[in-house]
Amino acid sequence: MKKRKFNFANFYVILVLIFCYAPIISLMIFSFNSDRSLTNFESFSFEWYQKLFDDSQVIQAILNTVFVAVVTTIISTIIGTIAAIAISRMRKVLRDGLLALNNIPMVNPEIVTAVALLLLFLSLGIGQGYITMILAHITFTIPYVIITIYPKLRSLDDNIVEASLDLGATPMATIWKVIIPQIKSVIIAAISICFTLSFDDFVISYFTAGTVNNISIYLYTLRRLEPTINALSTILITGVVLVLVINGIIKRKKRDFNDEEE
Amino acid sequence: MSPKKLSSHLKDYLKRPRTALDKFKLLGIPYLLFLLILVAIPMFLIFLYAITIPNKDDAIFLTLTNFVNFFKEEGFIKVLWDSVRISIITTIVTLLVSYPLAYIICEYKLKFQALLILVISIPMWINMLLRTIAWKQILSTSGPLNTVLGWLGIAPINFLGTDFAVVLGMVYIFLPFMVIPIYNTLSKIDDKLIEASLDLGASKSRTFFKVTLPLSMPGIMSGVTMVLLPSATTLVVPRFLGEGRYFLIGNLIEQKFLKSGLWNYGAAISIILMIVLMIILFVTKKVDKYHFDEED
Amino acid sequence: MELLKERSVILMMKKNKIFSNILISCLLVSLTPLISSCAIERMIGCLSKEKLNIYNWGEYMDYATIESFEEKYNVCVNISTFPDNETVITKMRLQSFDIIFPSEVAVQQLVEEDRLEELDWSKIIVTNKDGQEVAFDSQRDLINPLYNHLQIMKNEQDFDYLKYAAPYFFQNITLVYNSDVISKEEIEEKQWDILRTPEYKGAMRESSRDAFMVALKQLGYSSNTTNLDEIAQAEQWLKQQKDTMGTQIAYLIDEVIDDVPNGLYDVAMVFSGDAFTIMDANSSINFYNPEKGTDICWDGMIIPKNAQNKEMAYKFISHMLSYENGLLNTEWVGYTSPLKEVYNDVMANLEDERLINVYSVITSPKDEVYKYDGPTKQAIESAWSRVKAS
Repeated sequence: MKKRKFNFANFYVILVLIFCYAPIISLMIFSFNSDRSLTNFESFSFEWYQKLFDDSQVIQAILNTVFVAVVTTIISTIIGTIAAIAISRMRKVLRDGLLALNNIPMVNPEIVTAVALLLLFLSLGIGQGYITMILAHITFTIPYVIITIYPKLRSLDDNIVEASLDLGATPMATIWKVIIPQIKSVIIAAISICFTLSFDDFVISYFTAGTVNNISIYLYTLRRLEPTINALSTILITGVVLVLVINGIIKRKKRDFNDEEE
Repeated sequence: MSPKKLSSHLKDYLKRPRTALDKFKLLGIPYLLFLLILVAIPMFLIFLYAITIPNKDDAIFLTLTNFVNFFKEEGFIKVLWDSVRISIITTIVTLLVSYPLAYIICEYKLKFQALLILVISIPMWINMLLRTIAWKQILSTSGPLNTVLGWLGIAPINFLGTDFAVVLGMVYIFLPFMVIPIYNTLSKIDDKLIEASLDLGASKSRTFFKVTLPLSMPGIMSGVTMVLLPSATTLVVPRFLGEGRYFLIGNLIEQKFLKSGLWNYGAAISIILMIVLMIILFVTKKVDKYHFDEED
Repeated sequence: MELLKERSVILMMKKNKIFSNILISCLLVSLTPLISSCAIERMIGCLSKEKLNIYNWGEYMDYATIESFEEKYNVCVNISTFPDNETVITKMRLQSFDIIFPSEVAVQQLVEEDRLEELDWSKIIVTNKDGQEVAFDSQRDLINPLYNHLQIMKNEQDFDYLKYAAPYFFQNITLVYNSDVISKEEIEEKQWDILRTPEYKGAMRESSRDAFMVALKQLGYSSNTTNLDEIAQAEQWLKQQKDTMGTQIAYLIDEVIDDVPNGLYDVAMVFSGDAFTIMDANSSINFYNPEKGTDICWDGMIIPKNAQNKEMAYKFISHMLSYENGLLNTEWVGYTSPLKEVYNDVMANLEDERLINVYSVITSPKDEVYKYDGPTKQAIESAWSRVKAS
């Protein structure tokens, strides 16, 4: 509607974008460096990509990260969704109380949550493998699932649910066939948030890790920085960009067909 | 309420006819368990550790020694001060960068807006440590930034380990968290309000200060809260961009917990941190309310 | 206020349903090349195999040695890494690892806290250079400097290191410097004070014990002193350093290994093994062991009491103490191997004089090995916090 008439404004946006992407571009460029230096570019080479696929420790860390993220997402989304459904049916006092409690892990600085969980695991004496990390990740993701799903639940028409129950459907069936389809979009959003939070987590993982390294811990304890990490980032970035482009094309095709709601 | 009445009320409550909807509440049980075990008890443990000190008999006797020790160490007040200072500077800089950005984005076509917001959010997908390390390379004395400055005839400046580097790193990490809430609030402002204000004779800047800015306050508050405390407690940026010279609250807690094994002391520091957080939340809530009322 | 946060998060995600697609596609794109690598096959195989949990410094083993171990015994080795000894001591309480690689001073502390398994050397059979399987004999198989230090430790401190640990790497703390910028004479004159010279950008090690060692040595005291007054003076020394140097001093751990050859620092205190790597990467870097004294240390393998797979742990120790793996590890990491056969072979192949000298870890009379003392350690750590916060 409004035309772009402020050149200064455009310039500012471009500047900020450069700021945002400079380190990323730098990471990508040096992933192709034949030398291991991250400040002087020698010549073009794929050796770090080769090394990445051969370096079992990095791959191990990545797979650990993905594994923990996937398990966390599954558990958190399930518990969070049914919790949101339950909360939406509660009386106001209980509901507000629970929502307030829900905020604690979100509002707390990560390091406090990390410390609290560390003390918990210490007292309980559990420390094996993936368990502590998964439990810790669940702790900080469930609240986000709930606050993502709950508002949409609130906006649903209660009558449909009542109708379903009146018509003889069991509560489980109602949930599965009536409620969930309506909130599908926010569930997907919740899954995205969950996965991202878990995948990118550092502080909480660092404090509560069991005998597993995730990618952030690996990077933090790395003695020497290797461009294999650059190679990994480049792959991820390329994936994101590729998908954007593909999605953009698909959307355009769809829009030509009918009106799509955002 | 006399005990007798209470127990009869309870009985009635338990005996009431169950509707199907009640079954839904059972769904909340896993979540309640979660809240209890992974949220409530750990918090309680922090409090417990903070007010006790380790002794051979495992006896629990409450003491405020940990807190006293913290305040007695003049060095640690400096840690608090450094953290507060850096986080406030970061928040202000982030705000000053984000607000104009969000404002300008709102001027573009709707589709383009969505694209820009997406583009700004993408860096969040890349591991924070990687992005911080990348900045370390760029800012180093033999890095690209100094190379460019070299072309302009400026001698290599040592950026790393300065306030500049640490704030830069933090702003970089937290930028999307400020831009997005502000953008969301700004984009919702009804154009007609702006038009009305201009029609009624207010100048562009007056319109901005009296109409746009107050209406975007919720977004600003949201963004500020999402940047203020995390920037004070982050571990990664001071470590990589601060050349080890920056010792902030996060690093202090890390040291006390993971290195010195002084859990009680570490817990006490965490409590202090939470108290600070609550104060900040309280203040922002008040400011929020104030502006909401004003808008009416 | 929470509502605002809610709304912004939701709107952020809701507005771009694309994110979910990005997520899935991103994963697929990034995982496809991984799927074709051996690592995935390994991971799947790991589900059914016996496990061995190792806790080590980052990048401190040649992965080939791990792979050969996994193949030989059909186990799955899980490696976690730590940045410093303190983290080990704390994290050990939470997790149960089978093999840990702490430094000798941490071993002393852990023994005092009764957390280590006594090593049954009859279970350790190594393969020597000739391919024979023999029992490990410390006098015959360890390099003399280390053997002597172990003897001294046993006699003077009544601490038998080998009772609890098997040595892995041997090193000291040394100064690397850019010989184009700093002259040998100057560094010989200033000793550790070179790190308090504002003209040169220096790097201290981010470690309370090591930093205090430097200060105490420069002041002429023992690095094992329990005299609180001397420690206070060292604290002052370090505070003054932070003060005078300002931005010219950095407190780093292992970033130095890349930063020094790249010219970011003129002088740095590093472990001799890192000095090796640094000098190998840049011919104008040289090293100097201050005559005022430095720290000698070694890392070794221990089995914690709460280890789950102790039998396999013994096999791992045997594996790492064998000639072939000892050679692989020392060549990959750059630290000095304490295994005599390996050491001799490496020395025979080195040509660069600097590298020969640093690999041999030349010691001088004033060098000391850290001795663990609980209260002193606390005092030093508190003092270090004060220095960092000053």
